Amino acid sequence: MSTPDVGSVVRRFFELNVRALRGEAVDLFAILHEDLVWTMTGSTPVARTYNGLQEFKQIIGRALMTRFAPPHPSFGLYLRRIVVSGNKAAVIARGHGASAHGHPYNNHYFFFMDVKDGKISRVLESCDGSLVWQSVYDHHLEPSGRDAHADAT
Amino acid sequence: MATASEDMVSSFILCMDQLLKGAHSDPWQFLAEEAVIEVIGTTPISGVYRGRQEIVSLLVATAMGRIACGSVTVLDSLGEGQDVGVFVLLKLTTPEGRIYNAQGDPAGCWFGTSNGKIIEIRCFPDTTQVETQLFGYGFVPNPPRAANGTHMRGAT
Repeated sequence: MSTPDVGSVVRRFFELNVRALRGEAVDLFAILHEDLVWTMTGSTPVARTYNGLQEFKQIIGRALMTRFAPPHPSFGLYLRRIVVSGNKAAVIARGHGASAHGHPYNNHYFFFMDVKDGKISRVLESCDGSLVWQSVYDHHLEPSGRDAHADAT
Repeated sequence: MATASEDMVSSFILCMDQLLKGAHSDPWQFLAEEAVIEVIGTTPISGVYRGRQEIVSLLVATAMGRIACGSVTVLDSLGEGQDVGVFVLLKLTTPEGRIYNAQGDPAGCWFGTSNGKIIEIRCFPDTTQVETQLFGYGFVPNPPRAANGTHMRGAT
């Protein structure tokens, strides 16, 4: 696959996300490869590697339905920067949404994406996990007590 | 084949690694005077730092106060023109002996370059672990909310 096609596939992924987040009936997973390997880095409850599109749909698809606010015309997931080399892309993206708890969920994302057969086949994702805990899982931060860093003056 | 920008970013990260290991190293030589660094999130080190002086006196000073030693290596790098996306393996140990990223997760980083210098870095660390391991905070469930959205007093 030539480099421009990789960029188009990745852009299409974000376009589909924006349309889905705004309530349009699009198949968000149609751009993902059957052999998808998606790794969410970090220390959140959803951080792990999902092997195969079915597993990803089952777990993340359900989380999207239950842990986030219903679609809204202002929501979106926006590609901000992209570099493409071979069949890979590095991407910076910003999200705008809300959790099911009603907290704003405007995350920052960094992705490495591989494209195979015109679909996204591998994703490595970094995002603001602290925001995931606070917004999506309705937690807040407190000094932990275990030799907590007490630098606040 | 790596771009010139990828090579420079790789050299910068190598210098950072040496610095974290306590060796004499000057990674800041790779930064343009007007470089901008963004650390995502709302952690004590999150924010946008403009200019090398602000980067060193605010971001680096705050971070190094919480870091006794560490290491950082490039896992994968992708460059096109002046921009480079990198996944690094960053591990840190605090003065109290807590470990940031004991599990060895990759973290994303975006670099912009110009005229042989790094002019932009956007860092995507594990912000959960920045809060818990570096700064000693814990994530605690919020109390249940009343129907009007206010937190219910006395709820456990």
